[in-house]
Amino acid sequence: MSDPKPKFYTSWFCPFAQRVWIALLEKGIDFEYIEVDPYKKTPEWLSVSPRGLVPVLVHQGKSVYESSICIEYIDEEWPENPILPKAPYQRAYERIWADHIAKKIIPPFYAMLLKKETELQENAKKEMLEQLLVLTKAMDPTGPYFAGSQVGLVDIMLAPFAIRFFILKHYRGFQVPSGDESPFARFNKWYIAIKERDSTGKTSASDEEYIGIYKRYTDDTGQSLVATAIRQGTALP
Amino acid sequence: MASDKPSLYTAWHSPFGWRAWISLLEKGVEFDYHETDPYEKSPEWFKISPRGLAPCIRHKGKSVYESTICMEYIDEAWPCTPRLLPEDPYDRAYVRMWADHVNKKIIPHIFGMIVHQTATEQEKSKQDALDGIAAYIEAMRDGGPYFLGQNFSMADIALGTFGSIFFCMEHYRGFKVPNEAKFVKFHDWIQTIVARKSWQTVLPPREQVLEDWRPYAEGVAQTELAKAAKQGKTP
Repeated sequence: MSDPKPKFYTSWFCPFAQRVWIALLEKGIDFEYIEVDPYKKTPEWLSVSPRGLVPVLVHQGKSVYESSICIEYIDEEWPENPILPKAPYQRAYERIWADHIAKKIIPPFYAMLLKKETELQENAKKEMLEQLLVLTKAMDPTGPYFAGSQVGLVDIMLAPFAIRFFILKHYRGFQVPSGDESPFARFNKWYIAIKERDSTGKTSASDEEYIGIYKRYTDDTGQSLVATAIRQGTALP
Repeated sequence: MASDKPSLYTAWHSPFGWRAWISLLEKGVEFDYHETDPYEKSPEWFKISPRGLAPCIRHKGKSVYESTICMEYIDEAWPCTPRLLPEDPYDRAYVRMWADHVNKKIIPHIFGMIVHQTATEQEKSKQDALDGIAAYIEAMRDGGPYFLGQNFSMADIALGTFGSIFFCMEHYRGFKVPNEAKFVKFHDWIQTIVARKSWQTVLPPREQVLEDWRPYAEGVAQTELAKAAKQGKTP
């Protein structure tokens, strides 16, 4: 048993931070929500978050950062309502597909918005669909969640980005094919289930707010480390 | 019947591969070693490692890949000593954060300094690598000689594999971790690490390491690794 309440440092628009927010809610943990502006790199903020990024969890005076590491910390510190399974291979499987999301799905998500050339946007759309299909094939056939009937790490790592796909449609015409015969049918089943969860609804802003905040990516004024990395073609922070 | 004895698919020259190899050796696990060329994109290879990545562990009919995920898997599948991650949730997060730091803030610059062909880019990579190493040293806990202090962990393996071939970066790019004040701890640490039996088992002869990195240093390597490294990414 541990106390006091963890402090969750976050920004309402950040999908990486939303992952941790979802995890906290799924676990039923009592926490303090602290909204920060991660673009203001004040000394106070950097002492809480050495990389200057959200999300950060501070518990018993100690900082945990990196969304997947925060989620594993939460899961281990508060063992009820587990997010990761117990068996070593099942755990590795969740981590492998979380890594796939980080390396193969997140980059085209941002590239689609940030690249100015239509050809590069189209490449990103194609890449995104290819990698989503790979992920879809790794899903438990019944689901509805990635590993089966319970929400787990992979669901939480993907959810904030999936619920932002409408932004990709708005600005870039990106769409995951629908229909029962589509190879994405299983993905769409996953998406419906995730969208319906309380934790998704409670951690999401309105469509208008998201459309507004993502405009600066599409007009190339985005100053985040993610935006800079995509423009430079380097790895995401 | 799927075997309980794991198989390690890895390339002799890969520091990423050594992470999984060292982890198995440290645990005293019996395993089959399969020398692998991950650039040979054969259908057989993709059956073993679906993303084509090495190292890959095959165990009980399943594949585990990505070197950091392999280390955690090995620790969990064989939870004997030495534990590669400690018990306490915060300490576990600490090890993970600093292994992540090694992967994001040090390794890309180690590759960068080798694959970049202009002096300006090389110098920048060298400085960035040193900054990353300085932060890692700063994060080391007191009591030594390991990252967590008394206890060996995945954080030591994450950097210690690459750290054991820094002579190669010195040879090609004049890269040296200084001997002064804030870096002194690095030298004590790496000497202790490299002296471990597992490191002595996996480390190839010096000349072979130098020869293996030469195409990258001379800008003629066409591997995925070279292309990714030029972009500051590692696969």
